[in-house]
Amino acid sequence: MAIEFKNVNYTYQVGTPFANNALTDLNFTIKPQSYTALIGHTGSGKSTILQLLDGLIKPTTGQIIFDEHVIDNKTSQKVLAKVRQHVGIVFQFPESQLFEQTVLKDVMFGPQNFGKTAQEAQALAEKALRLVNLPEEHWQKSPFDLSGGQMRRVAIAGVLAIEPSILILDEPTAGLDPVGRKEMMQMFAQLQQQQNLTIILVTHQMEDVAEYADDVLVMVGGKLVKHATPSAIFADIAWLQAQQLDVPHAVLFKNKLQAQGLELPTSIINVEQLAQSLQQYLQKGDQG
Amino acid sequence: MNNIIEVKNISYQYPSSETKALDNLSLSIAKGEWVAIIGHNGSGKSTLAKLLNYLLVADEGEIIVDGQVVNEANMWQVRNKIGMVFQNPENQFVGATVADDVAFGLENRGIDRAEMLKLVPAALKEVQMDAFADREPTHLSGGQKQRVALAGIIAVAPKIIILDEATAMLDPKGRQEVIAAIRKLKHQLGAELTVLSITHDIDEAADADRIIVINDGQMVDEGTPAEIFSVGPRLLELGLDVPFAEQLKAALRQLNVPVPTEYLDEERLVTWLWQLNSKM
Amino acid sequence: MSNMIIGRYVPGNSIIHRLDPRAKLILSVSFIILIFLANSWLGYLILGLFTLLAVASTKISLAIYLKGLKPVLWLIVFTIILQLFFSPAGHVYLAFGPFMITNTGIINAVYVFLRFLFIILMSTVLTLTTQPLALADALEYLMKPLLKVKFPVYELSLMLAIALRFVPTLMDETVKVMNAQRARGVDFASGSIVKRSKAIVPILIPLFVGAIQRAIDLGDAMEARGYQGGENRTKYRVLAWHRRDSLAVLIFIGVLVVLIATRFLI
Repeated sequence: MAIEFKNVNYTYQVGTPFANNALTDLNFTIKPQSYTALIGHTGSGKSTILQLLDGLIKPTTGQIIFDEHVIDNKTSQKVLAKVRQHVGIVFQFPESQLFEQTVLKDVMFGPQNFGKTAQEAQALAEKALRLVNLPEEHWQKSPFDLSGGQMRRVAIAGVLAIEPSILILDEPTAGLDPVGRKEMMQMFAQLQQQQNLTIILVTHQMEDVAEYADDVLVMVGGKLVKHATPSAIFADIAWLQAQQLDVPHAVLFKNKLQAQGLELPTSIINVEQLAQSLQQYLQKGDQG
Repeated sequence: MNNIIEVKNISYQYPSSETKALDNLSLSIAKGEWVAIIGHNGSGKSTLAKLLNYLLVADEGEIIVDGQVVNEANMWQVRNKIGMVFQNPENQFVGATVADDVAFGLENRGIDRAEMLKLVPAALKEVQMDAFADREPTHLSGGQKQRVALAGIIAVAPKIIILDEATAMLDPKGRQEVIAAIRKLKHQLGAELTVLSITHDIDEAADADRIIVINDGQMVDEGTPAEIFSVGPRLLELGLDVPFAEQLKAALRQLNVPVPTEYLDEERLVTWLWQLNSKM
Repeated sequence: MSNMIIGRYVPGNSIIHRLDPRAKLILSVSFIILIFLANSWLGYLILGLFTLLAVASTKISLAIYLKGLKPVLWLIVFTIILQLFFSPAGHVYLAFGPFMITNTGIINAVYVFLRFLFIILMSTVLTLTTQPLALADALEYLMKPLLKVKFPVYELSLMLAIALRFVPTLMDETVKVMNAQRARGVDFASGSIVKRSKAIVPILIPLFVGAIQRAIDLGDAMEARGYQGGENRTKYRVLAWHRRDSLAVLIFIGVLVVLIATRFLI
């Protein structure tokens, strides 16, 4: 499913003295089955975009187009609910949304709300729990008896069970240990391939952007200031630093090598690419 | 050697758990040392922190902090010697405003108000939060709240600071600010301050004099950061990010490029690659 | 939430804002008692002028005060009707069955309305100009005599202060959980009452679980920082009684004296 933002503005508390412009004139398109990173500091408008993407709020002016559904300020709750069925959102620390007596029931909650029968919901829940690699022995346990990492997988399964075509991830690895973070990010990359998902990742981790994303939106003060590929974004180190955004390690390291006279392509942004270029470079040197 | 913390054969099992969180663990920390304790989630490292100041009571073994046995009779004296910053910035902010929160520990110790009026602003200045003294916690970022927590500790001047995953919930900017504040404090106080940081963060661990690795409630390894980092990608299993130089070495090795086995920091890896290149 | 004016602090720098919270708390409570002393037009006039003086001195727009009346409007109307129709004494103007409108009834209804109005306006003055935390401090100070009977005054006021401190946190948390469940298809806006009240469960359980975790963490943090209960603690935040506070009390006593005088004069 493609998503298009057309002249979208969003103002909090419209018509009150507290009115506060959170988003200004946003225009962009997210291609189907892309992996888009949404980056920017706290207060840059990221979380407002997330809520708009899931139909939790409506644009003050402008339109958001999800294939045949058009959302504007007048759109009914009914249409929003329809859009919500196609969009899954994993909020920050999603384990704080768990409430059911068993893991399985919690994962069934979403599909049942969207009108699936108990049987259908159970089938979807089991499928989702397998996708997040939660062993079957845990399915009948209370979600509150699981470890933090397992609880997060249950919460993610609860989102996947509604079979979204767009999956939004808001800092999905926050609070996990390094192994947990790596496994989680690899799981999402795999899910995107297998389930043909469109992924939108909100993150502060530029290493993850460099590793997984194919498109990047940079928000500053409610405005979209850059929309480009990760290599284009990370090529401009001075600009990144001016925005107080981290530069991926591989880029910094590549620059150090370049300063020593090694000629490496500027498109390198992650460790695999760097290693490959180095290997080719060293081989070439060997032959020459 | 003058050990400020001695942990002897400690075991602890949570009432709701089937396995021991700490299993016959022994370790010691010298006065003035900066030690990082690493381990994956659930390895027992946070349990250790809570045993040190008697928030949890060990099933077996003995802990000695600054010459005092940690037990019910001594617990308030021990807690006086240890300042602790916890993981969740929101859940340790007691005061209604920044200044109130910094004063909380002083109030508990019965310090005169006149004295507090000097100590609170000084502590806030130390972590560069003096401009925020009257702010309420809702209007602070996670990193700012953690710096306020640190100021609350600076104000009561303990001998030991324990950082229990204090940077885990912060964004990169907040994390760097907190680490910088701790680094500065340690630098100022030198041997008067012992720092124990329980962490997954490679930058935080790299600052330590020594790293202790805990797994399944036991100490499985210890060494200088360089020694510990040299295990490369296996660090991930130990609960730490892998330094970039090690990540690159591993990626090169996979492509059959012969790389040195000893730990290289980034500068040395650059030099090594450059020499390799010029040799060819 | 937006029309819950009682309990919502409006920042400002008026003379009323700057009064010591103890002065404000004592005066508001005394004023409410005083209202029941008034038994004549003159008495109500004096009270009304005093109330208006207090309201005007806050420099907060009258619209905000009127909004504060809204939630209790029905209660006022109900009480007035009760007074109006069920006061059997006095000259009867109208009578149908057990209902009758008498001159005493009308007068009582007007008095009751004025009492309500004054009480609500005065307590709104208090809450609009005083931060909840300052009120908690004032309460702690005024409850101090209860320490003699081993009442846990300090613990109670710290509890109150912490509760106030966590209100915004829990509000944020509620919005977060609601959004997460809406994203999973919960519809809070439509459906039968049964369906809607069922939708509360997925909100309440996560909130409880979260709040308990917070309480445990907070307890650990407080103990680690040396908190051992109320005794032997010093206080960083202190209340300061100024001349303006004494002046406010004097004005109030003046009103009291005049009011008592009216009881004898009329």
